[in-house]
Amino acid sequence: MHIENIAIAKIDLSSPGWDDFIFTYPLEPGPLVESIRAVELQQPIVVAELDEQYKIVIGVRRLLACKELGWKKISALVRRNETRENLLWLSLQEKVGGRPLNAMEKSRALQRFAILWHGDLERLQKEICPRLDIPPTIEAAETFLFFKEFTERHQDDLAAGRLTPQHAELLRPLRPEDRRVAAEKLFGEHRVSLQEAREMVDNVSSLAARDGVRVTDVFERPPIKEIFVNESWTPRQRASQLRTYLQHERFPRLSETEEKFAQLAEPLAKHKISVRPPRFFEGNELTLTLRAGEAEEVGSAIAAMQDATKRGLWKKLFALLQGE
Amino acid sequence: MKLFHPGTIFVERRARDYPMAQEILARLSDLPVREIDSHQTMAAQELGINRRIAAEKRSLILAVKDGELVKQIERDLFRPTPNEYYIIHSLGCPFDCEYCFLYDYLDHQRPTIFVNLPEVLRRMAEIIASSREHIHSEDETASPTSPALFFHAGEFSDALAYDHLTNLSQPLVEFFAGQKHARLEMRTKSDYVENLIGLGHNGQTVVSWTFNPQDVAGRVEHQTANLEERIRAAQRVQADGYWVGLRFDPIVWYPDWQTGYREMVEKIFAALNPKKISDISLGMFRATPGLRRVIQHRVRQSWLLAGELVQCEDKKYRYFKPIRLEMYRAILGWIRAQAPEIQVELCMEAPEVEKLMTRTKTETGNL
Repeated sequence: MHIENIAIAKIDLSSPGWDDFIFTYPLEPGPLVESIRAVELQQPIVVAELDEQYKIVIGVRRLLACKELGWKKISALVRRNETRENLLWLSLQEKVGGRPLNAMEKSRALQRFAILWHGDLERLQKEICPRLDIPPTIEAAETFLFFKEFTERHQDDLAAGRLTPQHAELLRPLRPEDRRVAAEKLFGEHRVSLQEAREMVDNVSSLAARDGVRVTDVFERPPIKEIFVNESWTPRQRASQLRTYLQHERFPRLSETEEKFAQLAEPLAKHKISVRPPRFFEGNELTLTLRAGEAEEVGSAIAAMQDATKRGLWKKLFALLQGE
Repeated sequence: MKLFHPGTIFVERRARDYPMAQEILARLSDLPVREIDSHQTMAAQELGINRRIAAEKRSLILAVKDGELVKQIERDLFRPTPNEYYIIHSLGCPFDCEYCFLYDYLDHQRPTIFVNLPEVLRRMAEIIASSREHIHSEDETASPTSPALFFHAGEFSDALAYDHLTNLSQPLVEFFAGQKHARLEMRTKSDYVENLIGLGHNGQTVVSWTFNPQDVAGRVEHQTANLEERIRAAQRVQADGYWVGLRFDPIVWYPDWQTGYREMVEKIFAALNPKKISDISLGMFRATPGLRRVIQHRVRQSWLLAGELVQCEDKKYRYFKPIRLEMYRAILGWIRAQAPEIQVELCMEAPEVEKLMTRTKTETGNL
């Protein structure tokens, strides 16, 4: 195999499928242009000769940089009579041998092989996922394949690590047009944890289902709009406000019960007695915690509990627990 | 309801010579048949959960069931059911109920019929024979609601979804017709009851239907008979002398649930003879974390997840307890308005909910 000097104009950079062997994301050559201008091209690109044209296999950014510099020719290793599968493997091997792939590059690599193998999930899991450091499961493979449905902006965010694959995966059950808004509102400038993100996506989606509206409509509600126009809040505070609002709207009965319970139990707090219901009020036992630093405090707490008995407070708390 | 007609048949090599396999293959002689080694590793290699499930449900597997053919029920951890068994006659289902636990239970969703029925019948006979010595004389008067032994068909698949292909109901019903202390429940969402009509069932078979308001059935119980069709089918089997069981399970919360469930109860009781209803069970929608995830990925903005679902002590998601109680009480009230004495039970509920509901027990100890 020789290095050849080939015309850049003969390398396909526009027809559908021109990037069949390319996973690089984003494609912009960026600082490479200046680097090549300074030191020339130090490494040939790799192309495949197919139907009297060349298809780029390795070195797309270098090629685009040279084109931008106005070069007419470029040194390239030309692969002839290779199967598409071999070329794809070649591209993948080269890529994974270099810098770590970003989420979009992993996604594109999976997509290319999925097309080649007609969606053979088993092969994708066994042969491609391990090379891309993706867990070899159907779910993980589908998560990365799903990124192609994202808008360019979110694909950029994924590639740059501003949006994690795990956060992006949470948006999968939403309608495409809802994903954009949800990603902006829920994971915009405020970096919410995965657990918070999951809770918010679940809540907003279920709210929309319950009320028979779109997710985008939920974000148009005045209280939510208010959260986003209030400039006195930090992004983190804004996320916290939004989370609380969604939780409250999504679980009105639970929120109401929690509030009633807290209200009833509040007078005991000043005697350092905390009363907690079981999680989500499932179960039939209350947990009482009493804190005391001296004997008098114990006496005062016991008296407060006896007083609570007289006032029927315990009955009221248990009634809440029993769904009354 | 459109009867299940698969696009492809897979047959385990060892299953091919069973009479039931031969009969099914003869009925579906126009279809391509592929031989396989095992029904267990047959997941479709399709991208996307919906496409995968759809592809799997277009096929049919004929297989031989290994291991236990009849299993003791352990489904209700809160309430032991020592005398209840389920019959594993098939696995997976051509119907597509979005809440089905099988989506989080099976490796694939290909409808699978086990063709070694004689072994199932033999095993049931053994269980009945070995139980005979424990059966007390008062069980002689066992009612449809409390027989000494109860066998359920329809745990891992709908009991009648394949009946047009297997005619499974005939040998099962005839087997139980000869049993004094054991009864069969065939649980279904189908309206195909042709094979049941005219059989000498001797009152030993209960055909039970899962009912949901058409609003719910139409949205989440795909390929099944609609509410009217199920009621008509129940009427037909009642007219043929069968006991009918009513399964309001899963009860699904949706904004207009009161109207939906009230009208459904009224409709059912207007059509069926309460004296030939064996019992009613009420069960609220519940989902394991895995099933919840499947629903989220399969259905955008699903009604099933629209209610106030919280994670319970057994890790399953259920509606917030006061909502469950409100729904149980309302539905029970509508049932009692129509049929004060019918046996009603809760299923898969937390002990404290059972306890709270038993406050409304009737004089007969019924809910």
